Amino acid sequence: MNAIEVSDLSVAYRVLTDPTSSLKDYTFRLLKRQVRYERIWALREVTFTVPRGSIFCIIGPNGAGKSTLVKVLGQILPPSTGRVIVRGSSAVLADLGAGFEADLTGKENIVLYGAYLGRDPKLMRRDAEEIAEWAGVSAFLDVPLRAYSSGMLARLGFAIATACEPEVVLVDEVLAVGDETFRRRAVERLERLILHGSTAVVVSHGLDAVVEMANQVMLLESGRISELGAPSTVVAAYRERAEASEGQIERVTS
Amino acid sequence: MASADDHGLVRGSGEKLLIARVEVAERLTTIFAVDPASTDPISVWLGQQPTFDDLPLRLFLDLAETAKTVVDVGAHVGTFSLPAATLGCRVIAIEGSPENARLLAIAKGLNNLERLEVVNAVASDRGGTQSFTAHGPWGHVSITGALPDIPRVDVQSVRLDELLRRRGLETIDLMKIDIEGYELAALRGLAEFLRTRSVAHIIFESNASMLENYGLAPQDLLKYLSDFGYQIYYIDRENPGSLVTIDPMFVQPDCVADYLATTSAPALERWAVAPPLRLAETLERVLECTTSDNAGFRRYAAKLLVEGPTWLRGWPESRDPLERLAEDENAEVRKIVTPTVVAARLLDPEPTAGHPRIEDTQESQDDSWDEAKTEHDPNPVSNHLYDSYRKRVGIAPMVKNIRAHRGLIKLLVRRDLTLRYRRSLLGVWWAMLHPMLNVLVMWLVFAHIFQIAVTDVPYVVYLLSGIIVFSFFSQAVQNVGASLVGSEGILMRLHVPSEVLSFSSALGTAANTAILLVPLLILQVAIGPGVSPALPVALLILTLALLFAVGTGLIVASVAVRFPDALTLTTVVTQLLAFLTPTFYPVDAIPFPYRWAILSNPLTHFVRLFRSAIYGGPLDSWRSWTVIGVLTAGSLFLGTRFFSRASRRAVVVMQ
Repeated sequence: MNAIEVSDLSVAYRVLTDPTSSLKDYTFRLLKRQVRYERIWALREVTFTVPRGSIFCIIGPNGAGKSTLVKVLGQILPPSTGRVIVRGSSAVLADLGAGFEADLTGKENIVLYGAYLGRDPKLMRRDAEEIAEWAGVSAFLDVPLRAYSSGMLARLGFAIATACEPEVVLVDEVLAVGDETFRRRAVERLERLILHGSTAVVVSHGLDAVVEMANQVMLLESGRISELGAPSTVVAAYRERAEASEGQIERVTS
Repeated sequence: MASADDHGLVRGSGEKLLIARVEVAERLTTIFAVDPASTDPISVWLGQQPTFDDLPLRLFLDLAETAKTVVDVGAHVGTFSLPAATLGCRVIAIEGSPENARLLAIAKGLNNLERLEVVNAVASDRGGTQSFTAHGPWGHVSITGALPDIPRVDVQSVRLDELLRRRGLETIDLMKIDIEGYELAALRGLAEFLRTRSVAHIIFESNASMLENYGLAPQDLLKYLSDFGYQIYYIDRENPGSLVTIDPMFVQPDCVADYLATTSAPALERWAVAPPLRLAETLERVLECTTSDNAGFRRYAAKLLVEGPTWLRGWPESRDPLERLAEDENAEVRKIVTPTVVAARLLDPEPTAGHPRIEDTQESQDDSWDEAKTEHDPNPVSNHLYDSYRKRVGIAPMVKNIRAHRGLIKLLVRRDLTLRYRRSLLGVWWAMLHPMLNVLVMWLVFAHIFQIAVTDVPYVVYLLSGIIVFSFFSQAVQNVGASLVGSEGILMRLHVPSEVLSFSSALGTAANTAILLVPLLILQVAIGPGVSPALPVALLILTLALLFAVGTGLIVASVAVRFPDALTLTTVVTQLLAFLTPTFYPVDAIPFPYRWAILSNPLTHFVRLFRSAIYGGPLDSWRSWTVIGVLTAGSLFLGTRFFSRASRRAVVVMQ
């Protein structure tokens, strides 16, 4: 059974060619027929499937559409065309701490953030101590969040999101924040989820261990799939391209 | 013709032929014709051994005893067809390989079996011809994309429906299908007979690794047949004589298995229906499959252990077999299990300690397996499904989302109420005190400086009741209007339906204002006119005012996504409405030429009806009721429509 099925997905952002954000200006421009949108395609005709319980890794240069794809899978962005099916509860692990309230305490935030992710507040209250312990903030559980360091916030966000045991985990660059210890423990926690049957989609910049562990790797470039397959072949193709483009830059600068 | 005791080589026209007299299933003796150069295990066996036996064959012959018409699809050299014909059945044997069909025809002559008909064809879901690959032990219908240099022959392709009807047959008593993964196509070509359930018993093989070549799984076969109303039993090789009850979601524990599909359970002396396989038994057999010599079998087991149903995964019993598969000589097998094994090594260096074992569970693979698995599954497949094709526009999906997020809404409302005053000295009491002080100021200004007076009720009650309705509306419109733009940060990062945020901000506002009902009731009791029996109607009117505000607020929110200054405009309009609503003055105080402006303000109707309900005045102003009813419904309808579209756009428009 596939956890994720994406067929012919395209996503466009709409950008005003001439940004007018006041109603008055807009009315004038409308009368003069000057209002124009431009569509910027972040993803074009993307098709792939991810079997349940596997690790799917997305790599590619900046602006390739990786984060957009994760947001579409996480139901944050609607597709412009094409179809997306995600089976099971999903959680996006990106921008950890979006939804945190600086004035609420750690415990209150655990409950609130969990509720944002669709978890029963009662269960979150029960698990709060365990979550805080993993994040290493047990001593700060009743302190407002404004007193937390950025590392504590990232750890807490990650701990809450993964404690919800999502069946599809969508990880966007969260492994890049924090120190080495945090990364190692975060990867371990993800692995535990996968071992228990979750499916993972991981965006990775660095060609790190996650890429090696993936069942499938997808190389995105300018919103299109340019390689999709086993880690070794896709990573080799990516390296080749990166080297080729570096060569070009050198030629231009020399 | 044949040499001593009919067991030997015959040379004719330059080619070799092996004639073998074999005792079949301890029941009868038949003469087979085999190619001595053939490498398939059955031909080799028949050429060397005096007896032949197989569990599905025994069941087949037991059923053939009482059968008249038998069809054998994938007849090979006749291990099923020849004995059945010997028992006196009319047999139609269909075989794709021209070589095997020729051998079967020779054997038919040797056994003098008039009632056996050999058809060299492939049973399929279409006519014409089909490419047949004689490669491998048995031969199979060619697989698209397979190696091009494997020799193939074109064979006639038939639909069984057509083939049987052409022979004037209407019912089939027994059928056997074993065609290396092509079973589903053959069954599709038999759909007319299956629909009328005109085939009484079907014994079929399900070879998971061959099925996969055609993009199928064993469940596809089981489901296809059970959809026609067939009851299916798993022929248990571990316990000869037992037919295991299964459902179409049955997890086939071995790569190759045999089944009986039947219209009614057979009453046979040597066969009994057995209860479903226990989960532990299933896993045990899957693990056995990991030690097979056949890489395809190991691959099937590996896939089940890694990607199979959740209840089959993660047991300590699988640990060592998985470790072995991770070192398998076959690269594909290694590839399937490696991530799981690596993860397991990292997580549980000591898998034996304290883990429940599947052995200890008593659950079976039966109809209730869904419940059985959730008990042991730390993370069962939930019924969450996101399909972007399902459109979510309008009020019904919004109500559903709001219901589903009750817990979150409660938290957000509580946050709205408490956070505002958290760091103040009086805390939550401010929520009550703040609007009360506002009212006090207005009362001082209007009652004592402007000397406004009303008949019937004390002025302060009049003022407070008007303010309650108006602020219910105006604050909710403001807050709901700002909710979409204000929560961009959340909407861009978390999957929360935007209507949930809007609704919770409306509720938060309502709770804030509803606190004012307490002093209103106290004043009513203290200085008149007392508490009216129509108080529930007053609450209904407040609810309608809130819904009207939500609808209007959703429209504002939709516009504000594109133009943030719509919010400023709303503030101005509400200010205007505040003066056009008779909150602090009686309508009679307005000179007649301007009264239309007050009466055309919808809020006037809300305020009037609310006051009537509070004081016990008349509630039969149908004009007012119609106005508030239509406005509430209309604003909700439009608001939810606009909002569905705007909230989709909110995240894709870059300002």
